[in-house]
Amino acid sequence: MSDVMTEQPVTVGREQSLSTAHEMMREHHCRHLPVLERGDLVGVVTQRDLYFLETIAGADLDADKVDDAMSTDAYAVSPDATLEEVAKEMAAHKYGCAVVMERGRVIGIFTATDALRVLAGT
Amino acid sequence: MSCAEVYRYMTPSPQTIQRDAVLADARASMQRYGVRHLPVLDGPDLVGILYERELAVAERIADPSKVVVGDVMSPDPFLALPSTPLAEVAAEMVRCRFGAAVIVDRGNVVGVFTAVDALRALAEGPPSQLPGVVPP
Repeated sequence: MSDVMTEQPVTVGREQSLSTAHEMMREHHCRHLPVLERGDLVGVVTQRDLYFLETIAGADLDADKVDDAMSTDAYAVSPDATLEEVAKEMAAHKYGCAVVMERGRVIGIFTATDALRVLAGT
Repeated sequence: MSCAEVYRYMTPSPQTIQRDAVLADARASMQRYGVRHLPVLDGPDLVGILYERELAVAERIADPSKVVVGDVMSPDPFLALPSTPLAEVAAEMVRCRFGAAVIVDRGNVVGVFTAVDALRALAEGPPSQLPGVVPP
């Protein structure tokens, strides 16, 4: 996985505000943020989640928390996991991303878009 | 670069829906067939694709028994032939951020290729080892 993931050590806490998550995504040019609680992966929040909550559900980005938006369907893998086994698991459960963790720290993300990049050879 | 053709990994014979069908019918179809993309037809002609996530958004703000698929679909879907190389389809999906490719053969919809299909392809092994590959 370490060969194909997008390196991204940025994470967010579940009690942080949606506006903080939004700002982090903007600053680090990412669209997925792993959510940690006391070092454990507890979910993933995506740009799409934020957009949906803000525009449709009328969320207050400053008051509402990451916990309100995140998906708890988080799939953690080690950097040594093979692409084949991760892709198989993601396809079986329709996970949007896999969070690559090493010694308790998030080091990268592998998304379905990354899967397309691998197939494209880019 | 992989030379495997997209038809080997597409979801074949997908369900389709007419543009004048209501969203409630589209939701029922997605649930019945366990799919998240529906090619949209106007009579026999392909005119768009309906993504489940956009259907979900529309259902929150409008009456799904009254709004029609044509108002919510993404028009001008990305089309590919069954023989189009998988790598080419994947590259275009990345470049233009398409969520799916509709595979057409002689004017007929014969499949849909999505990111989940891409994951299933990768689950079979490295792209260079996918069936149909001609080594460089």
